[in-house]
Amino acid sequence: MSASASHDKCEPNLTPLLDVVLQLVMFFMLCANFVMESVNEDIVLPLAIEARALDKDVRDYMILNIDAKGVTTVGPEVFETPIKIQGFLKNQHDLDKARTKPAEWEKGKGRSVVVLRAHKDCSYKQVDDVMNVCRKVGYNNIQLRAIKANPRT
Amino acid sequence: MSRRSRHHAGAPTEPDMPIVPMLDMSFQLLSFFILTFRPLPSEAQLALALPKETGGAAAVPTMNMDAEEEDVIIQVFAADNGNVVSIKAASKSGDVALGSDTSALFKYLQDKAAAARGGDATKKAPKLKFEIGERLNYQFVIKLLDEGRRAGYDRISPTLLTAGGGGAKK
Repeated sequence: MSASASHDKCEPNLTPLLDVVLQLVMFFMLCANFVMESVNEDIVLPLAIEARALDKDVRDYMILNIDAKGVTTVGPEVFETPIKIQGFLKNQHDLDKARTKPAEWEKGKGRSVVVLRAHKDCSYKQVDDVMNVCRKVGYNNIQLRAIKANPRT
Repeated sequence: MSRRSRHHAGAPTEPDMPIVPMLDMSFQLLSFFILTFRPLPSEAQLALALPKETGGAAAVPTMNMDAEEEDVIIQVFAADNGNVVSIKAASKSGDVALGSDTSALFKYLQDKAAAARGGDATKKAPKLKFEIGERLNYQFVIKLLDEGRRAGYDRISPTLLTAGGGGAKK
């Protein structure tokens, strides 16, 4: 009896394990892609207690990154001075206008929300210059991005 | 022929798919992604309402010029190193020095908001305008805006301190 049992081949079922592992791999791959999309990781954001999450109704937003030297980047595009970004923002503004109904545009709808991710060590002048360009182009709805701070700390 | 018949006659053979090498590779991929995964801290926003561009930078309201009477205007003077030199509340009745610490500013803003509401909690707080020296460190700018929000102001607009500001002079 015992001899015959020892001859049986005992194989663990590895298929469920493989399923779980592949799902985990997929999760990490997707997370890595989404996080890197338009955020510059070199920028250290300031802390703010009252910062709130971006409104879920906002579908169109544009992230402008300003590093410690005042250089602005939008995705892969680099703009050394705020003046150089004006043309880019103008194009975006025209695109917003083209895809919005004229009646809604007149009501102030259809414009992208500008999210400024500025390094905590840059000066206010550097941020203000970019905000002024946004204002000139027609973007008045600007959000300053910060790290949500714990009020107790 | 005899082989074929024997094959048909016997028990069906199960295809043997080696899972172990695939599992090895999956574990390697998984360990790579776990090691390189860095979750970003939770980012959030401070919303601003910038004045519309009508006539260039001059259109940005400055102290006691074309600002509404009930607007609260705070001037922040910056040193060359980006720190705050002094904070001043500007009003028609006179300027109020608030030192260089934000705790006095927070108390002042709270009092002003409460006075403007006059006990009516549904009433909106007045507009809050910060006139900020150009060299002020951005971290401190965010701190100012944060204090404004905490004090109950929804409409906050920062502008550059133009004349007489310590940070504006080189």
